[in-house]
Amino acid sequence: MHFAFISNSIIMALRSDYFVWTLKLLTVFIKQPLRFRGADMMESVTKTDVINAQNGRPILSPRRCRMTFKMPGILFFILLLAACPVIVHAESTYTEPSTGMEVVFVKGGCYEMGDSVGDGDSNERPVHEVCVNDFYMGKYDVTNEQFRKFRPDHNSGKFEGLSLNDDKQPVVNVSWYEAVDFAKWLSQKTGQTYRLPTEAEWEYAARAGAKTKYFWGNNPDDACKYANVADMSAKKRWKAWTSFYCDDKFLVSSPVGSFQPNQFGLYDMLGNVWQWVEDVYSSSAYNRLPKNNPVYEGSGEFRGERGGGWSNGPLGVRVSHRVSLTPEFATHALGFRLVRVK
Amino acid sequence: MQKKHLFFLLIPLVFLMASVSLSISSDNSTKELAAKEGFIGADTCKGCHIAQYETYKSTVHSKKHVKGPASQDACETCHGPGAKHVEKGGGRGVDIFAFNKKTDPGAKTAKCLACHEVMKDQAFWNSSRHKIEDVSCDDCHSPHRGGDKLLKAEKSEVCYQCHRDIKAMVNKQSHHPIKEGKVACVNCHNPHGELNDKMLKEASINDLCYKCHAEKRGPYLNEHPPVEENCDNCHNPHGSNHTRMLTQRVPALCEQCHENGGSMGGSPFTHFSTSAPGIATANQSNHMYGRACLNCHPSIHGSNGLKSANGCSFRE
Repeated sequence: MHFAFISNSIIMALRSDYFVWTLKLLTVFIKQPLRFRGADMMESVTKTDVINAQNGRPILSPRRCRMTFKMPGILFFILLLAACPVIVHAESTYTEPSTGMEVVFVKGGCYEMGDSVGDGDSNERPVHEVCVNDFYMGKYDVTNEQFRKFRPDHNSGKFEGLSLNDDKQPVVNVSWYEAVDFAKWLSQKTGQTYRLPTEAEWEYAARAGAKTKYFWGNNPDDACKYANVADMSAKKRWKAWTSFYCDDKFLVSSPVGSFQPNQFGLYDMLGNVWQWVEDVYSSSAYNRLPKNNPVYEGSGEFRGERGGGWSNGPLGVRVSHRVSLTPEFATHALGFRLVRVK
Repeated sequence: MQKKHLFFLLIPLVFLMASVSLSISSDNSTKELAAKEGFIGADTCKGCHIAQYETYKSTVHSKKHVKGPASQDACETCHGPGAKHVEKGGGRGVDIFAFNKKTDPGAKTAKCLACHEVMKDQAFWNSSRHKIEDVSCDDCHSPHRGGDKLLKAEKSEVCYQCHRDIKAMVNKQSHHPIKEGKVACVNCHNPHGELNDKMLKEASINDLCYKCHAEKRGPYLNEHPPVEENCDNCHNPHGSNHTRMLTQRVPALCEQCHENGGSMGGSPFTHFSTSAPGIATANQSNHMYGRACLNCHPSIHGSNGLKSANGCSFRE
């Protein structure tokens, strides 16, 4: 198991309501028998504390927390806290039984959407604050195996003799309409609401709190740990491509989840395949959409897609990069993932 | 000088020439490489744009022996270097030259003229009305569609995209056989520009008409002045609701000049009248009806017969 996954689980645990309620229940439970004198503090675990925890500072600062425990009580307390990430992880992920598609809970919040670094295209500006509600997002891109449960004869094809059609590879050569049809089919089948993510949801989930060019920072040379991109091995075969200066070991799309996830536990948010989003594309959307849950569904010839793919270089694989294509368009590096509305 | 000495002189000369030629060729290849920076090749383009690539392959542009995209850099000859476009994952107009409505028409046309400027038809493009009105080549042609001249639609239908008034005229009952496919707008007009008015292919309307209607050219013994002046005086070449594409019904058309008291011997209404001029009477000839003036003057474009005593002509 990756270190990033463990740290991500801990952070998710600290972010969760469950953590706060655990502390509260714990307080009530051990207040009397252990003569727990810091109970008042427990009642007041605030947002600031959670932010402190995210930033690596101890949530229970010694100055504020003057508690006296007896030994068994301390052990019980530590045990319960240690269980938190596991319990929260179990609570925050869900596997849809008919397709095996996993979704991860993404707690809503606000963030700076757009070209936060300043080297993007004009359609990524102005940077503006956007807030999204809670939602569940596909942990991985939809795979060929999952898509074939909906459309058994789908063939993602090959790229210059290299297969894109293995079960665990992300589905490609799907139009926006096919992606939407899949979401409708799954919604009908499960009774829950699945759909494509909006651009705002997608970028929120991709950034996972980061304000950098990529969710792992600003260094393109780290790309091959986190994303399947146009790399040095691709450069050997396709010499004219602009590539990252690292080697991710894959020439074309990789099986989903082959790289490290972002801080929300989402895999392949950058690289591997482009992902369709719900919005009709508008280059001026950032100037006119509302702050809360923005989505553009006006008139327009194009739909948006995000994330970059296995054939793209540093300029294309960025969290704020926006591309538009006609919804009928389907190609070898264009797939999708779904969100489930809470 | 001895032959031996001449030989020793020639050796350094040969080396000198070889090194000069090498340096020139290496300079050229460096320039070529620099010019090709950012080019990725059609095979990469094909990965996403397979439909466009296939249609391009079916056109004359893809033939290697034609000095066109295929003999140069295929897609990138017209669309410009595509490396950044590929790196960014595509998108219409993203770091690529796109032939869409937002692109400057002059820039689009310049791409085509890079090869087509030398063609005779394009000689007057820069002074043409189409260029002034910001029409560009891709408004009518598409290198991604096969067919005659890579036109976006069938012959005159291309013109009708803008010239809808003309389309309406062409659909009138009397028209040139354009919709029947026998002639087309380009038989009279050069859409790429001419020095003549309305981008006509001949210096005057009459010259243009005489290319097909040579029998109307003359010279005649008795000439009909308006014919000589301009066929448009009586005909609308795009179509009319009157027979023979006349601008008005006969005799109203003739009356425009041959009005009552005119120099040509009075109005047609008085021409056969036994009563006072200008008053239609019971004696008026039945010849006035039906084909009217042309019953007696069938050779209205000119005749070689002798005039009658009262000066009447065009009767043969």
